[in-house]
Amino acid sequence: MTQDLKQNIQDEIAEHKILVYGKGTKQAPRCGFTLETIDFFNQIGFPFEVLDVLGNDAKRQALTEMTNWPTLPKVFINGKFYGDTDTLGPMLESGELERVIADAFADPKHKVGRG
Amino acid sequence: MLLQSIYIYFIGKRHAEASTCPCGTWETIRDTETKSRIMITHEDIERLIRTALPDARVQTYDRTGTSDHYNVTVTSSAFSGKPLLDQHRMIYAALSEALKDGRLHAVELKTEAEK
Repeated sequence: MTQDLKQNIQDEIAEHKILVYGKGTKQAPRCGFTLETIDFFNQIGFPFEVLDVLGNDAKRQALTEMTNWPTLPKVFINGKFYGDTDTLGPMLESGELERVIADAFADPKHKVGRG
Repeated sequence: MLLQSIYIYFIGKRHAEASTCPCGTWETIRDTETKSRIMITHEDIERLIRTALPDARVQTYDRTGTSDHYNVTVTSSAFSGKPLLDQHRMIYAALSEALKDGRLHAVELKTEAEK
């Protein structure tokens, strides 16, 4: 992968506290799994961004290499990779996700709360 | 807790919407290459996973009735002490051939460490 592409991804991950790389956009998801992930974070209630990589094979490959994770969507919270809803679901159940998100938004500019 | 009730809602929802998924999630093949309707059986999935994890107990659910979108639940002692993301990576690795050649279009994974 090119260093530029990797840097571009790292910049995006740093920019958004909750970032979903998926197929399609928030308004027009083009995959059931991406839609499911959008629903998931809508329910959680904290701001999140969805970036469409469906048509960008080089970026998809770079993301797969960076995460050692073969599928989309891919979810990053506070700069760290957390998989997809298959892994976020159990994290939500155990309470870990709540801690991770609270840490991510533990900034005076953001109100930390539930829902 | 609010988040847990959201999770229960979410789990109930995902199965209902599963059949609407228009795309595979595997990142090493292009969408246009996944159109073929080659199928895989429960026995095939179980065999692939047990090749990597001999003590694995494997449950599958053909969620679209087309024998290529499966919910897969794996229980194994090999997961003990491993982070959830790594547990899922182990199963993706075991299933990689079937996912790459299109027999398996998409999976929803659940892993549990044998107690």
